[in-house]
Amino acid sequence: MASKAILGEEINKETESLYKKEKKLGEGTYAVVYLGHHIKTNRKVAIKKIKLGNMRSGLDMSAIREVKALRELRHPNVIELIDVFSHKTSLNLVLEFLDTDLEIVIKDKSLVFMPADIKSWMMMALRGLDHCHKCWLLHRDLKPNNFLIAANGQLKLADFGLAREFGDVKRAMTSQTVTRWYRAPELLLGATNYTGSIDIWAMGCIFAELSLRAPYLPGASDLEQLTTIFRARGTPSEDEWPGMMKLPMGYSFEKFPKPQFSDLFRGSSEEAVDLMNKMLTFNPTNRISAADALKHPYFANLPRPTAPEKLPRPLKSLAGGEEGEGGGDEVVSVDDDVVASKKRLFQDAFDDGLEAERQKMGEQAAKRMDFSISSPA
Amino acid sequence: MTDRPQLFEQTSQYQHWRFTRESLSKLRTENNRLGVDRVLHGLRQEAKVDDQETSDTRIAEATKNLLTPEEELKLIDFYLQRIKIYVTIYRASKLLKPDALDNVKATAINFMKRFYLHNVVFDYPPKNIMLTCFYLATKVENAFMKIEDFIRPLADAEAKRGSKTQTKSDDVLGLEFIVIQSLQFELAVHHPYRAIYGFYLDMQTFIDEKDALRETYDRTAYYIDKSLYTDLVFHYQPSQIALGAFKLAAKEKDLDIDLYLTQRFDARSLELLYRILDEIQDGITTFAATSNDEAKEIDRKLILCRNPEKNPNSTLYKKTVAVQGDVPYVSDSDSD
Repeated sequence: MASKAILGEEINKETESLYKKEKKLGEGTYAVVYLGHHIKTNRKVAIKKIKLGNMRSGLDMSAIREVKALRELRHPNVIELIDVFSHKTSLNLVLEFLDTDLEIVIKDKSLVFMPADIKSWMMMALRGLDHCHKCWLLHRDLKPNNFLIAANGQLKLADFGLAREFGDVKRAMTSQTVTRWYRAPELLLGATNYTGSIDIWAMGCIFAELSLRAPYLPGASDLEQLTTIFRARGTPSEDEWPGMMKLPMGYSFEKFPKPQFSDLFRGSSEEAVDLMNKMLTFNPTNRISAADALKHPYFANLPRPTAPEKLPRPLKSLAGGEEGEGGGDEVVSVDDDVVASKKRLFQDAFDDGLEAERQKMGEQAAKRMDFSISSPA
Repeated sequence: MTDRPQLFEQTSQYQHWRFTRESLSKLRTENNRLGVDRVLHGLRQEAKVDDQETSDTRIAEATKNLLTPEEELKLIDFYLQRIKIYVTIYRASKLLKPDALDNVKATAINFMKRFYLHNVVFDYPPKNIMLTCFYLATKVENAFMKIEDFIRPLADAEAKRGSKTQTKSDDVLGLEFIVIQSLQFELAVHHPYRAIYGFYLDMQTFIDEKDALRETYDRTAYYIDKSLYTDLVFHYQPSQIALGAFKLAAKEKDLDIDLYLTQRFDARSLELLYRILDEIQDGITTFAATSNDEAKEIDRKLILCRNPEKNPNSTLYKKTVAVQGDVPYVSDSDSD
């Protein structure tokens, strides 16, 4: 604490005075996101103001979880929480400003992904995740729109509203976590004791989605999700996943045969499919870890991962920059039109078309659940 | 075990909440001195809106009763000890699961100790701060309960005692932002409990007396609990405190753990470790909790030297602060 002030209130005021809010970028039920800057350095920031007006039990769990997690994490592939301050009854998170996310990139059909691009995103994502797991933290909500992308192409893991520490075998955790399509089979079967392997399953789904350009396991309901998984991956045998029947909701499922994955992932190398299979292994104990995934031959062999600044990105989200050009210099100028054109408003901002689309699909409910009410997880 | 210390060095606990004995004592003295200044300033302000004569007596009385940094600490400690009692209340009413008890207790205690590095009891008396720290700790340690559930056992206990005051939701929630900002929004706290479990598992391959080891491990919880009220957490790492507590338990159970330590650590680091463990054991055994009588006496003095600017019952507060509408907990009405 470099500041000379001793009192908590004074330190808080000093922090608040460092930043200037400029304009509202988006608003959700849980938070309002503002564009702002650090007054002295002029660094562009996003200020996420968490509203507490209708929280009957004070600060809610997702705010607590997010602040608790991000205050401890420092990594190039994890969103930086620069500062936190409170103002009357709002909690303000000063975050690094990031203007697009992986979901927007995947959905932008004008962009062509090369295998080296996918490798680059996967490497950055796994590095960020590995750091979380090394710090004994589970993210528990990995999906493309929780990976934000910086102007220089760096992928950043964000939204830690469901994150919690793990590793204490004596403590039960909720199985009602992770957005459905990315939810690991053990969670769907009601496991209350799990590890980083649940995040890896989600990463495996994202890996597949990057290759397919569409969600890999889009179950229409929680009930159907497991069937969707089994249909796509084959129903696991007792040998393949010995503990399965012992889980709270484990029972005999319809037996689907194992399909040929290489048919579906024709554009992917053998190594890519091998790593994907290791991430989507049914038995959580045998599922690959983030650290081991990074050591997989897929990353060591050619093609080399694309340099982050050369990765494809949506044209309209850049301030005058063009696809494929170095992203380092377009950060500073922010005129209103550019800002308005930016679709990316963090996951709490629902007023853009993509969110509306997802809402239609009934997808929103799962995600919002934990923001609007305080969950006992 | 090799990358463990480096990881710990990245935590906010290591980076922002570590002090030497001198720096800690200096901070508390300075904090107390500024707090005293605010009390006297507040009383002079109050004199402007209140009757001159009563104000003069009030200032004279406050000056005589101002708490020293040591008295502040003793009072805080008394309420820290109460956290232990509250934990058992919530456990009995099944609002806290057994697996969450240690962490909630240790985090609540830690929050309160950190809070008073950035505040003084003149501004915020420890009774309600303790409750807010406790409630915040349940959230932070994934043991959330609704505020009504949190209040109910307190109200029941107060009714049973025939207490005049009744704790309300707002007493707890109204201080939540004050507490969390004083914690610098750093909520992850590491305790010796997890570390000692790791050591226990590790020791099983080195120590043959399994029963004695098990008994020692069980007994260690007692010494870890004692360590929580001390300042050890500001000077040492959780794993070191864990091992210090374990040594005390081992002494009691006649278990030799030197063999384990000599195999686990090289001679040079062992020398340093032994010195640290001695200091920790010393810190745990010499710590004396504040007695009821001491606490009552300090509480009595505190009534006379509270900062009226922060005291909702003071004349100053009623005539100025409350009039401005600057009450701490209102619905989200700010316009920005």
